Amino acid sequence: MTHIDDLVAFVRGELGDAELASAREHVAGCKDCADEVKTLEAVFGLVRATEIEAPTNFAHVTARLAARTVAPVKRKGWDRVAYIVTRPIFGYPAWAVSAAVHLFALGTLTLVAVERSQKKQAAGEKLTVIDRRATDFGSRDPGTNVPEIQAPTGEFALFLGNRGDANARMELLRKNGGAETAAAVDNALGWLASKQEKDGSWPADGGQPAYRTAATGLAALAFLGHGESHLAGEHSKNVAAALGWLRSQQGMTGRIGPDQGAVLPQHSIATAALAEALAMTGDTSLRETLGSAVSYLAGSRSPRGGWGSSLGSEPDSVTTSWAMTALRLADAAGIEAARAPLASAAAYLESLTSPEGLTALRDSGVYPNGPSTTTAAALFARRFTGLEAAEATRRSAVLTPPDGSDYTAAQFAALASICTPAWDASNAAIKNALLPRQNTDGSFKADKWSGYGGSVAATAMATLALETYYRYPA
Amino acid sequence: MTEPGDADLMLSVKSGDVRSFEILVGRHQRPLINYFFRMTWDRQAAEDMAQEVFIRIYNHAKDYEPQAKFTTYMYRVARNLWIDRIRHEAHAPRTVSLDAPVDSEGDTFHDVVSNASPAPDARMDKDERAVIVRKAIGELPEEQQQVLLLAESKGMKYQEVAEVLGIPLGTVKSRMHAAMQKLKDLLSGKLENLQ
Repeated sequence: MTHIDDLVAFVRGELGDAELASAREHVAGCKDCADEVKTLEAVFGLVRATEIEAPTNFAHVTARLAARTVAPVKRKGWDRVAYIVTRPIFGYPAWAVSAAVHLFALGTLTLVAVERSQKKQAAGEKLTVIDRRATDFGSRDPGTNVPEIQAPTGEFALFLGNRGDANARMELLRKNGGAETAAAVDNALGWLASKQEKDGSWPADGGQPAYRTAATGLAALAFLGHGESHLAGEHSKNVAAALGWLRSQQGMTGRIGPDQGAVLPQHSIATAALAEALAMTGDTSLRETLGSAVSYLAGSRSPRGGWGSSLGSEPDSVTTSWAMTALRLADAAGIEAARAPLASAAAYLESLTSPEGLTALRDSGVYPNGPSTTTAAALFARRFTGLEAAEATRRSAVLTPPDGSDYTAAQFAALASICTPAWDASNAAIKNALLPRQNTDGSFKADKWSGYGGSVAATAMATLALETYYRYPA
Repeated sequence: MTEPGDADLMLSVKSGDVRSFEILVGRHQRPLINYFFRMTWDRQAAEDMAQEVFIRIYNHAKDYEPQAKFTTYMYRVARNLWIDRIRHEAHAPRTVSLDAPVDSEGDTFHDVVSNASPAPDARMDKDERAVIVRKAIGELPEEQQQVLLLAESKGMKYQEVAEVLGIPLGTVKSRMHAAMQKLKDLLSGKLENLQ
């Protein structure tokens, strides 16, 4: 007797009508084949028995997530953002691309650049935010009547770009900061690295324990601002640990950090750090966390379009500036949902800004702590999100050169004034006021906010101010 | 009134109809999740990958051509995603992880094996059976496993499996045959207890 060649096909119903009829007839009269069919059916049954149910809300959630994903941001020149690591010449590999540059009276500073292109952000690839914890915040958008924020095409258009060009960076340092500034930043970063705890966070030492998220986010930003990421750089392990800790602090709503106190400033700083890391490296493993953080931030806006220190609190211009910074960075990182809230946020800041350019804290014309910090923060946030250069130049006339008592104000003043007529005064003030406040161990003396974020936040903020030359310049 | 076909739904998705996409997801989610589940034995990973497949399909809906059968298109995306994962993450848990939960109580393979009844003639419980079958599937060569799992996804026919994998129909048949022979061998002597 000739047995059936392919009983698997028979069992699976793959045979044509003629073959099937013939096979059935054969199996009916052949015990061997009948047993084999029985065995095969049993095996198929076992395979099928491993099936699991789909979650009941899978289709709905997936459709909603899919609908929220859109085409990539088309940034002129942004897709070629490069990442440069600068470090002393000793011990770095021969394939590095540039050689020594001699600087200043203090001696020779040698920098070499190692370029890491963002291959992961392949041109045309659509960016996806997979955010299983997303909440439906979209309906609260108060900015529907405000023109959409566009990617900046003037100032800050080369966002992160000067970190990717060693020559440009050196030129900026030479012209503006000098070797003292470069050394101060190196020392500060070294001190910060020494203070990082095993879990990757930094304590708000000397401040309030609840500000650990802000301290960690600011420290991470200080390293990132220097061109170091979690993937490369002298302090890459520090950055990786910091980002890991920040991610571990994210709750189900997407919020990073505590749910009381300065919730949104801390969340914004943490979000900015994650966004900057993703924008610099294209490391998609950060995307889900960042997407959730952006969703939370977008949904925590006040009806006026700005952000307050916590959910439901009155918005203020400084918290709003931090939130806008985080969202702009997330936008640069390809999180499309980050752009929509910027329009209403910009409108909110404009509502607090006088014709001359002074920005109030919460109520138009009211400056409870003076106008300098709020004005600098708001002007930077507006420039960072597309304010025209001519208007930025006009408004820069009201900026106040920072002193050494407030590193946050110094950071915003530097960022707000760079490439404007106010820059020379700001730059001189930053160097004169900040450099003398650095301790021999690399940390910075306390400022007016150290009672919250402690010496880590103070040192990180001062470092960020000193990194202005190459942090986000045009 | 008949339900719209997959192709009709995809054409609606092309024009931005999210509801049509939700119907498509609801229609195909279970076999797709199980396709990934039988390769990873990790429910969460399977759901994540299935979700990513659907999102990729949505984002590229404008490229969909109705000449292509939707499930063929969907499993090609799924297959590519799986290959991407293997290449880029070097993380392809094709065999049963001894520490991965294998049952609804979160017990691991170790837990199940160590707690299994030693009596050879006793019928195995559901969890033990699942572990043994999973292990057997995991021992199949990759190319046989792919054919088997695709064929078992919503009763996909050999011809469609061939189109998804881009291989001749005869190759599908031979790999399927080989896969079943190997499963039979791996499970021989246990079938009675397993059923």
